Amino acid sequence: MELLPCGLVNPHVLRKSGIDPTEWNGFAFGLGLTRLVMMRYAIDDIRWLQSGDLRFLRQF
Amino acid sequence: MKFSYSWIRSLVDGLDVPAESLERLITMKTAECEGIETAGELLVGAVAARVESVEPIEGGKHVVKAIVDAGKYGRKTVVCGAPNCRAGITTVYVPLGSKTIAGVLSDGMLASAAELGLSRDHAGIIELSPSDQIPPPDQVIDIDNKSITHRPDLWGHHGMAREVAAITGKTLRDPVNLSVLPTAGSQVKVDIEDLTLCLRYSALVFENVTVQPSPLWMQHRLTSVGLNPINNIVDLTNYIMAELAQPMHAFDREKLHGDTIFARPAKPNETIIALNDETYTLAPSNLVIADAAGPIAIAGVIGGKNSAISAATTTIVLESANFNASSVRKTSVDIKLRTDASMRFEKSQDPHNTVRALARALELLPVISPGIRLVGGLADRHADFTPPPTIDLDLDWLARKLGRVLDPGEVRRILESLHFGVEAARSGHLSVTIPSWRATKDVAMPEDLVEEVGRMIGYDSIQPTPPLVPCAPSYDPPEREFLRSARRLMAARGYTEVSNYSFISEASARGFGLAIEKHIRVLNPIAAGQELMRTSLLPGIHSNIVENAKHFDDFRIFEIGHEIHAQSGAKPTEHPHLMAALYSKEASETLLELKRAAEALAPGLRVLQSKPNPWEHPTRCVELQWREQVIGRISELHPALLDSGRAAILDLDLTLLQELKPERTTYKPVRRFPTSAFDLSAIADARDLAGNIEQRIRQIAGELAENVDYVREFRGAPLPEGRKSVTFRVTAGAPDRTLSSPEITALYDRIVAGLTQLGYEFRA
Repeated sequence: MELLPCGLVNPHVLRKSGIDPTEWNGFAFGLGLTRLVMMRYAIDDIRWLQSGDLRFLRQF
Repeated sequence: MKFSYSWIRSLVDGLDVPAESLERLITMKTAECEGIETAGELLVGAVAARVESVEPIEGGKHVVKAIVDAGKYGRKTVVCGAPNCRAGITTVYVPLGSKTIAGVLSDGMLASAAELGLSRDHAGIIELSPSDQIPPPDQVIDIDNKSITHRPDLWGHHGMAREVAAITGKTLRDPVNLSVLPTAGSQVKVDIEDLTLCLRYSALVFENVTVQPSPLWMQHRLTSVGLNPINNIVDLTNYIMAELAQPMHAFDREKLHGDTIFARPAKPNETIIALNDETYTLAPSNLVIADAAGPIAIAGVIGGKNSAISAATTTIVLESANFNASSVRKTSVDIKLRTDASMRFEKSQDPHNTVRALARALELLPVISPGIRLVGGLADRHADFTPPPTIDLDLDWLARKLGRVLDPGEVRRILESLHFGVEAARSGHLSVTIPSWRATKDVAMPEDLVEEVGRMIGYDSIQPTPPLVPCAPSYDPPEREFLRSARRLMAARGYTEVSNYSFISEASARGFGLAIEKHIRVLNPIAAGQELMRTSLLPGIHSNIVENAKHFDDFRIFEIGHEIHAQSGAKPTEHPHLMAALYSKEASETLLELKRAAEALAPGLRVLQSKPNPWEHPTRCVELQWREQVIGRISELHPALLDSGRAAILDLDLTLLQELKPERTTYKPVRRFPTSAFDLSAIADARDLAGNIEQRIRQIAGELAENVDYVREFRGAPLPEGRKSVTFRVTAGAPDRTLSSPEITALYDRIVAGLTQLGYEFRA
């Protein structure tokens, strides 16, 4: 399962942002918090999290 | 993208890594694998079998008793339900054990092509011709498409085989022999209007074609990787696409008008009936392939029906072209059609590959269509190709980027295994030439080579070290702290937090009477019913109420989220709001509880009468004022919006609430002299607010009233309809003495007189 997709920022992006890519590295990452929550609580469907269903929400 | 293990093995000499291990290696070094499955499990032990005789079974519906000669298994009796089960045909027998069907002991089964995983044909049992060989089962590795969007070359087995050869240190076998291609002198001419949109168009013409089913091995491979076998010519184009990543198309030569094939922009509103029987209306931004009469294909997406291969086809034009990736992508989005071809072209395919695909076809066609003959030479028009760029790779820089020093020979070995050209440049540098199939969009700068070397040595072989950067503790911004405290407070009062989407439907916005023009419209909604950004949390909360009312009689929920309001001529504004709802099947004091919740966040707020919104109960709604500003409202949901029960809604503007903050309290000396209290019941209009009356009592009583507290409310007999009695407890006292009994009576009388003057009544 993909949990923390990450990588180095493309030098073009740094250059466009006014940062010198020969001097700087950019590290980009995104934490899949909902996936972590799903694993931690064995939740089978990601849609529960936005369902507003009290049968689900009251378990926490 | 599905990859056949046997196909990859046929392209990598001596590959001895089992599919399961290969899947792991590919994931670690090239692209994310999603799983591995067996294609054609029933093919294990399957043999060709001749049906010797067939007889009906008494009482058996749709089944017959067949005696078959099952080769090495001997003579077998099999009960079969296929309509085409008849004496004399050769089919496939699978030894699955015996069971009794319709009273007859059936030993093993006769299988359909679909059951064997050879095609999707399940109309009857498969019928073999004498030359058909039953292929063995295969293993299929499924690779996540989004992990290879930057790799046009990996959309075919040969590209993946190249990776596998590099990973395992084996030799890649090229299935293409370019020397078989004829030179110029084709029967068809190619006319490309814009070489930046159609970078290359190559074609061969064949005659004496026999359109028939493909051999089983080809059908099996296509089916394994998710392509649908149709006939030998169409299957060949798909087979080469799956092998070389080069989409191809075959036209029926006799159905083409004239001998020139044009690649040109579509004319305004030009239409074409495609192979999927859909009619598409095109625009000049869409590129078409056309003959003298009109479009014969939507370039890079799908072929036309009028020139399609049929059972009667005897001559074909086999095309292999290359199109601009974004042009194909835009057309595919315009006409809402994504095909195996468009999916590949939109990744920027290598234009050098068109003739390779034709050379491969030239060798495969005689196998699948015996007697086929090439007519004339190669038609091939293309843009000028610039030689592949070279990249200067500084080895010290590479080591710094990777965090690991590598032997220059190792770097060279890795790059060469991936078919990069490597030459020693000045000391400590390599001059690297990009292969054409990696040069279209994928590899362009030294950083890309760092990735190539990094993934091949394995990122897991690099020792992780924490970066040397200055650190300072970070604190949550005040807004987040504030929102968190609001959440804690609501949760402590028994409200469950919900989290709804920020998108709502236009119908829903209208249903609540929200002004549509104040909404930001989503250009490409992720789902139907999510076309507007919400200007209120109400639609989500309302649906939470309706859904939860199916399971619970009473509940409290709240949400903290942003309202997004369109602004004319300016960027939209976003405000955090808190919306709480209290639902109850039986009527209860829901409004009061919400007021208490609001007071916990805004102590000392005032309640003012307000005009109802369309979604509110016409009389049960109030505005909340705090520190001279309107901070929100409390109301009952309009009864028409609920099937049963009542729901009260609290809406608070959290930006305002955070700005205003509770007033700082200053200590006042506790009164040293005893106070006295009395109760007072005013009869008021049922719609009057207790807060109003309280305010008036305070004004009339002046300094002597230390406190005025709401006690209770009463409606019903003996009070007339539309009236209510509201009771307050007034605590009276003075800072310098104890009030005398006459003073207190006078205060009581003054309040009664004052309120009477304002229209309130008192019971005798």
